[in-house]
Amino acid sequence: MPVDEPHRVVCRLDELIAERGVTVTALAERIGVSNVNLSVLKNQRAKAIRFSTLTALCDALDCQPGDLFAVLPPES
Amino acid sequence: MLRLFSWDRSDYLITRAVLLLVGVGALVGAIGGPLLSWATGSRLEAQVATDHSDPLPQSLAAAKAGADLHWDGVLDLRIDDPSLGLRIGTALPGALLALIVATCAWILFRWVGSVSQGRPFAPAGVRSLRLIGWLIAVGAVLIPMVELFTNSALIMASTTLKVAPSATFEFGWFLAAALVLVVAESIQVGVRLSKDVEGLV
Repeated sequence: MPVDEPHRVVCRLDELIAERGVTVTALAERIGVSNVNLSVLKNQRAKAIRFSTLTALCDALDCQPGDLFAVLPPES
Repeated sequence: MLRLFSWDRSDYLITRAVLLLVGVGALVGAIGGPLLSWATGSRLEAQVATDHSDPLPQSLAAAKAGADLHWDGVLDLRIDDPSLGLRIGTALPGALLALIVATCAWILFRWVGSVSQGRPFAPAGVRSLRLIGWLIAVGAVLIPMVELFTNSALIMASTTLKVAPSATFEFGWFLAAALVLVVAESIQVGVRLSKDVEGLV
């Protein structure tokens, strides 16, 4: 898939947040990311994520990147 | 290097509280003082700088060889029963300055709010800083001009001396306005860069 096409990555951060019973604010403070940016990620408006942010998220939520992100199949 | 702010929650709260106090304090001081003076019927006191400068008479202070002494032409006025117009005119330069200070404080108050929400490079912030810069520049011209008119009225109301008031246009204020406008344009660059990384978490 060419890189300039829209992506099909979905972020399941809201599900993980609900499962872990944490708030967005607390998580944002813990991983050192602003509330605004975390909301961007949670609401599927993110276009890229730093590895450092991904690492901090996985540490905080005790998960793997595959638990956080999934790629939807292409629409046929 | 010592950092005054780390922009944690308490820094934001203290900064916003200080800005609010500055804005409210400026308005209360500039308007409340003259209002109180009018309500209590106090006499009007003012200092007026004039363009008049005379050598000091020898009877007051004999200049030593090589020294030249002049009276600098500042009138200390006390008017017992000033008209309402004179009271308003005298209060006007201070009120204008207070209005500008309060407006700038309010703009900064809102900008600090958006910085605390992680949006320091919002276009609204650039517009805010540009407005502050222009307010300072306009104030630097308008306030001395208003003072000039007010002081003319004060001189006419209090003395038969044929002197004209003088106005001072402080270069420092124009420099401050220019600096704020430069910062605004620098933040505009930040807005463009911020758009480039929009969506990057």
